[in-house]
Amino acid sequence: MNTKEIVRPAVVLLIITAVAAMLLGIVSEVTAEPIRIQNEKTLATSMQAVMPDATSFEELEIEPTGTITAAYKADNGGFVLTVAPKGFSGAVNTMVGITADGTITGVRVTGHSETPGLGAKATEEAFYSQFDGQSGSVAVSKDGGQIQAITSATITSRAVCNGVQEALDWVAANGGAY
Amino acid sequence: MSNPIKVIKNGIIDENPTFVQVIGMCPTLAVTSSAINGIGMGLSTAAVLICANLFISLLRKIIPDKVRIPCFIVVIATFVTIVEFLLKAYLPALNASLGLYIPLIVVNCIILGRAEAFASKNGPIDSICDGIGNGLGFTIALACIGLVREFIGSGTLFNITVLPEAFPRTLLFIMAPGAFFTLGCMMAALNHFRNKKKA
Repeated sequence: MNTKEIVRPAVVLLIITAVAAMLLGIVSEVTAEPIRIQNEKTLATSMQAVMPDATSFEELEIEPTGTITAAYKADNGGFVLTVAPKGFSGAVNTMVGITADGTITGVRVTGHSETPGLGAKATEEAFYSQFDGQSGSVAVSKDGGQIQAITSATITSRAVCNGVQEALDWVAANGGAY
Repeated sequence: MSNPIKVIKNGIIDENPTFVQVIGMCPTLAVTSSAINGIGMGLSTAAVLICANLFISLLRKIIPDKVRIPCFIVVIATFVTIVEFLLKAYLPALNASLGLYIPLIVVNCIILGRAEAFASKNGPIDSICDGIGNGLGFTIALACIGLVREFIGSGTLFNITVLPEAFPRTLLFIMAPGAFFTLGCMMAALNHFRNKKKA
């Protein structure tokens, strides 16, 4: 084993990783701004889906309560909250639009890892449209509420209800302060 | 092996990555709960595989034998990451439908497997053909598994309901065990035909 046999592979590997690191650095730098803008756009689109009357949203600085992850104030006085209640297999990220007087304008499940074909149906309109116009308290019919749970996915349905309930409670308690 | 058609056919049939080489099992089992998912994953992998094969083939004379695996990994991971950044920044619609598969491609051993077994020993043109063949072979395999699982598990094909509502769905098939059942049965059937042909 001579030095050439040891040095050459090391140098080639070093050059390849250095070039790769440089390329990645450049691409990351160049795309950081467009990616941030895209993310904001996606967020704005989904917020508009749960609160169609509003045109702009402003993030609020809130005390973390329960599974509420973020709160936004809409220009029409309503609130959009993101909640992450625990579902059947992990958090069910849900976005809830609520007017200043506590009426739900829309609910969307934005991310989840529920069972395909069962809990995953929470992303379908047949389920989430049931929340529109509700106020006060929401629960699945099995718990004496007004929401028809997804067949064979009561846990997921209950999770979404819990999340929405948390959002409703937050607006009832803190809505006036913002 | 310099006949491009033969190289492509070899990847699709004789050395099908899923059914014959049995590599890339993790994404195979994970994403095939519907036919659309299978095809999306298959085509994204094919695109990455073709480019990765080309790069590795061009670099094959520079890369010393002893450090070839780390070199392949760096080249492939860099390439996939750049594609991910660019998709996120400039093609958000495509990213929304394919973004799910990109992290799975980085860890997909088909890419590394083909780099090691083929692209590091063959010229750029042949390597591209090998990428096309294996990519299509993977796509077809995933689509077949996805179709079966979707049909039995949700009663739909390409998200269109084909089984009457009253017909019971076997939900097990869109969960993890269904993936193993479907894959195992398909492999058994293919091996049966292959053995028959040989005899």
